[in-house]
Amino acid sequence: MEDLLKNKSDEELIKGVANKDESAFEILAEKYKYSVLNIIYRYTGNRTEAEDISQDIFVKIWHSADSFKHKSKVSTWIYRIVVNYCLNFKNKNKINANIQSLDELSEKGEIITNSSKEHKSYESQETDKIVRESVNKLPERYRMVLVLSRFENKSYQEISEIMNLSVPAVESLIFRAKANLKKALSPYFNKKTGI
Amino acid sequence: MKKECINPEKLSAFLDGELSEQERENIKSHVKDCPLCQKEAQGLTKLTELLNNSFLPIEPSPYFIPGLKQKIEDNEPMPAKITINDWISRIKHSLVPIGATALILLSFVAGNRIGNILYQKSSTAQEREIYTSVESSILNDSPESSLTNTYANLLPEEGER
Repeated sequence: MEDLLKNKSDEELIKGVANKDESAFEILAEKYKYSVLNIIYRYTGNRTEAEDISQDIFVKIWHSADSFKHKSKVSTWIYRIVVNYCLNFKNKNKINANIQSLDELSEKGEIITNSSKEHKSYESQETDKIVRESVNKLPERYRMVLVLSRFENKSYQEISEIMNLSVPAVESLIFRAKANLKKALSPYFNKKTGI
Repeated sequence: MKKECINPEKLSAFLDGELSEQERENIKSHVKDCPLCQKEAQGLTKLTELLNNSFLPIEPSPYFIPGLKQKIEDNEPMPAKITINDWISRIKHSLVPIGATALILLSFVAGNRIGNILYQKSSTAQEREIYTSVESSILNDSPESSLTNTYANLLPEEGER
């Protein structure tokens, strides 16, 4: 049964979820858990909170799948839920800036890329922490467009659909986010990049 | 930055792989010969590298899906317990439509019966009247010496009945 479901499109899966098909939901959650978790992690800077919030978002998807109108892609709808959750619930306890150091994450074995296996100097680790802190200090919308563009590789068009903005507005937000970061990181940025 | 330099927003979009083919070609040909725009582009590229190194992706824990299922289970609304008062209330609410339907049906049956009785009474009287009038007129039209006329003479007159 699950093998059959695995071959189904997102649209078919979400119809199953709307009909409270737990197998369809599990496959959809398996498919999107990585993206959802990493968007929230990069937005909040906190791994533990990111997992908790990601689960809350999937609970929301479970309960509101029947309200999906099939006017957009399922992925766009899911990303929209994530973005709205992050932007609207920022004042609640769950989303607060709490940057974890790379040490903390590495000790827990939570970083998965190959580069993490390489030894990072103390200086490099501190740099990473400063970069994450700088990102976390960006205004929420700047941070969100940056996360979607930079880490989820979403096109400006897709971001505009997810965030309900025009493409020029997305272009402008992304540029301003980058400009703010360059400014905030300028002392270190010049040293590190040699520019 | 020189006046004719590329708008930094467009340069940023260019580095993100956006813009039309024509715009991309225009930017490429300009940046090739413009040290200021080259420096700006290098800065943005380095920033991207910094971001990529600082935000390495994380893996969901093995408990992600089981934890999610548990959360859904915890969030499901519990079926409400039905008390005796609820049952009484439900019965009370059902009594009104049932009573109204029964009343309507009873009205139909009663009306039908009453109508039948009244119709039977009136039709019997009418039939008798028609019969008498037809019978008299036939007998009166018979020839004087006929058996029918003789029988008609034996019948009581209209006022004597």
